[in-house]
Amino acid sequence: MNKLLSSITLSFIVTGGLIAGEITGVVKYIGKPPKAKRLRMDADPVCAASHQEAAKAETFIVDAKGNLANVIVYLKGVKYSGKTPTQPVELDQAGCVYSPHVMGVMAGQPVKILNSDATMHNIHGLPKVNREFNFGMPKTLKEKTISFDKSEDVFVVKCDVHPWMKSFTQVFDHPYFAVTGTDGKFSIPNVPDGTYEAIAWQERFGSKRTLSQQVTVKGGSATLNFNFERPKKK
Amino acid sequence: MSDNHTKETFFTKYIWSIDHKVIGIQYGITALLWLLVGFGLMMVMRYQLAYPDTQIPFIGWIFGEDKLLLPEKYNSLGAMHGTIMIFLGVVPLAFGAFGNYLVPLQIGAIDMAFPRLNAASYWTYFLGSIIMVVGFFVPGGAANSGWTSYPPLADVATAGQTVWLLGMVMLITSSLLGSVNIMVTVIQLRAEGMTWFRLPIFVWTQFITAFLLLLAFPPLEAAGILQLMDRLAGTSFFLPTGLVVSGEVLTNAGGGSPLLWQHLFWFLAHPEVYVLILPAFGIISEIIANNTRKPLSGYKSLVYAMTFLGFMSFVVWAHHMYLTGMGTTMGAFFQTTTMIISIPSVVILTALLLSLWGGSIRFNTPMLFALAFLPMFGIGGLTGLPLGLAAADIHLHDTYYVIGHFHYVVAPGTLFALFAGVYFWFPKVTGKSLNESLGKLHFYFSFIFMNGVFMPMFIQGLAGVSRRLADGGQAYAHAADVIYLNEIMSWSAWLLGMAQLFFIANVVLTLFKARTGEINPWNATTIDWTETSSPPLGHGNFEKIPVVYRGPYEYSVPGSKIDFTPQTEKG
Amino acid sequence: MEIPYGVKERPDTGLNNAKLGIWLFLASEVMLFGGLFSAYIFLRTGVDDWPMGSKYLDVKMATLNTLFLITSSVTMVMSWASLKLNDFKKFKLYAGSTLLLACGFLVIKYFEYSSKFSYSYYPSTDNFLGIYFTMTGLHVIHVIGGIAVIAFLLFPGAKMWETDPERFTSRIEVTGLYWHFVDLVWIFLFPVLYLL
Repeated sequence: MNKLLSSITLSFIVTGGLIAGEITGVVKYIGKPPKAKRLRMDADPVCAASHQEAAKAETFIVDAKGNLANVIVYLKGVKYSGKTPTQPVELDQAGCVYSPHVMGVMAGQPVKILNSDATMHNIHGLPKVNREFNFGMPKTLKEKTISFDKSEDVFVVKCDVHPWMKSFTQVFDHPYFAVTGTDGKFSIPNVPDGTYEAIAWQERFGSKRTLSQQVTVKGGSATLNFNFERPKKK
Repeated sequence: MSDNHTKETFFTKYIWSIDHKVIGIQYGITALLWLLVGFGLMMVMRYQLAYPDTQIPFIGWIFGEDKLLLPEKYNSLGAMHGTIMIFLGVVPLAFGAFGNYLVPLQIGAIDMAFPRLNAASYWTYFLGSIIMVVGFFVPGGAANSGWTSYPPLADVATAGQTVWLLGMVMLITSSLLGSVNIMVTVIQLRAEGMTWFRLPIFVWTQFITAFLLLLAFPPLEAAGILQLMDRLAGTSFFLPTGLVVSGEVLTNAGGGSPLLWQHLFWFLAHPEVYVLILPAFGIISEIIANNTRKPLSGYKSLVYAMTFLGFMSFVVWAHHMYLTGMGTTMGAFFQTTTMIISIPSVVILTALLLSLWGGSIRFNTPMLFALAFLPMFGIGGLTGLPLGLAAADIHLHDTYYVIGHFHYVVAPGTLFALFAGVYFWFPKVTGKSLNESLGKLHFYFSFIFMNGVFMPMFIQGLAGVSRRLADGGQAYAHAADVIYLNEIMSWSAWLLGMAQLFFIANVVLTLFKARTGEINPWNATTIDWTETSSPPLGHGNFEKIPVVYRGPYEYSVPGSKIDFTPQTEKG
Repeated sequence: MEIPYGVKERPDTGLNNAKLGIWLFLASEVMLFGGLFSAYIFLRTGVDDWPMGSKYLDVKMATLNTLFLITSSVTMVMSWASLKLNDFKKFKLYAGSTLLLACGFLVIKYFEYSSKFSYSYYPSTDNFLGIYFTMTGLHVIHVIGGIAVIAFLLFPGAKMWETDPERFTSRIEVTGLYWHFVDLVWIFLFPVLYLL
């Protein structure tokens, strides 16, 4: 059964590739980056012990060349009638920080939450459209899987035991999204030909100052770059 | 009152009965079952405390596929354990069951003053209790903000809290109906010759308890209405301006005060604890007089002390709130009243202890429970003193010391008294006596394990271990030295649970025995024993309405051939 | 066997069960509304700005309501007095008037509440409105309860006048006591909420 499924999927990808393309690009930041605050983990000795040098807040991760990490890039308002992936997205609690710090997931796709620490975490998600969830994960509970029913803009997932722990999730009803790595690069494969509006969201800029751009995909690839600029002082 | 002799069906005889004896039994069975449920919740909690974050054996599947008692569920069990034990268990048993069954019999009345109101109070209680536990099945689980339901948490908590509030409204209503009934009955329906100072102490305690319930519960009903408004209508009675919940500022109007809830709550909840202990005093008084074969020492002292206790109980409530920043003047006032209220308790305990002196003590099961009650209540009362003094309370508030204190008073205190009462009055209610050997086993094991559960709590509390911690204090360095006690307490709790099987088996086996119908197996003096059959007549209780000529404890009257003289015997 | 002293007075206490029962019940009701009045005081003294009642509320309508209730208490007593004087016709007249006045109270309350809602003044708007709606709402529930009992005694329950007039009269007296209490609560609510 599995072999049949994978060969069918493969043929779809091959044929799909003929009329779809890949969007790639880099997200950069122009300007002087804000200083990353140190996270104080003294409240929990297990957390404090898991970092040799103090962990830093992950609100704004930019390298020397201005490449901006943890930016969600996605296509807006795309109709998608394909399957929801069954491969889970993993959200790990390790060293008392969330990994990844920012993630995108499809509605109905399983999210496997892991507790890699020898301490209790509490996973408290604050979506507005999906149902709010809040449950403890003692150190003996190593994984728990949840999923979101509906698409929703970025919301916070935090830990009520460790107040510095914060992560961001966005739920999509299509697979055309990606999160930039530390090199600022991202790639969204298998995008059908067409013209789309693309949005870039970064935590510090927030939902009110997202960047928007048009991108046209025509067989092959399309390039999409975003540049976040430090807002001018009024 | 219409004569309901004419058309009696199974329904009117056993379900919607307006006979106080049937209603008393209904209250009794329901309350005992809820006590078992509340105890069960605690046994699960103690597993988590002894072996944190390990899978619960046997019944773990109830708590999810991971079989763990997660912290949020622990909080629900904790809040519901307290609520169920107090409002669904102890008060309905002590006041609803014993009160309803015995008060008319002990004063020579054919029923309560308002029989149909009596039935209504039972069914309201029944409905309220069902509503309470529906909370376990709503999303987010049952109420989890403690039995004290403090805002802001209770205001913003999951749906189970709303269910809790609705259940409380029903339970309070039931209580009010019951208290009006008891008070009117005692004032108006005493038989000829049954003057106030010839009443058995049991009746006095029920009367004062009714008075407390009548006047203390309504402010909690008011508070419950206000909290329901906060939760359902978006008001901010208990929500201060700018409150941040889950990282976001609440958009409510604000301007409210969490302290307001505390005042309204404790205005009830302090008299409530006297509601929990007074019926126990009453039961113990009857059993001690009967099993020492001599009158109680200090009948009038007992009556005056209990009455004074009742009145004082309304002016001590803020000793539960010393740490809210009330200032030294208010603190001084409540410390003073709290110290004063300890005096009547001592008078009562002393009177009961002195009643043993020179007595011809019979060590039957009810008397064993009654004797154990005395030192157990003593420990409970004494450990309350540092809590009543603000300076010491700073260290002890919200620690296991408090849990140890109040459990000593309610568990080997009131519950022992209630067990004593069950063993004592079982032959009157059913016409059959419970087995003494099983009773003694029940007593000895319960006594040992009660102390095993609650004594270590004082040690943990003094070390600073907070209450309501889902991991039992494991996360805190200051608890490290006393954490080993958790396992000991948990095993004591489970063995205490096993010990109750002796009681359950005793009741079941005895119910299948043949009825002996012995009218007065304990050779008691009060009318409930001497003037009624066992069980008493279905309608009207008495073949002939008794006339009273004596006080309630005329045991070993000099010159008498037998060692007890019934109240109805002419002088 | 009948429960003694249901209607007849017990010699040493001078009371009958029904009257004693209703007085005890009313004592608990005093504590209930007292708890809410205490909450009002606590909330009001806890903030610097508290609106005048007249900012949100219609004092004229409420004054009319006060007159309705006071008059209804009078008619309630008169209905009981009529029974004592064996005048069943007058009883029906006065009891009916009590009912009408009580319903009038509810009608005005309906207009008051809907007027507030039309201005988007809800219990959640601020604590004054919150406590206003809660206290008057609970009072309204008590008024409705009173209406139900009086209506019952005026219509189906009036049959008891034929079979047991003394007991019927006692029922009216007890209902009257309850009704006076409901009126009394309003006498406190009106100045506290509307005038201060």
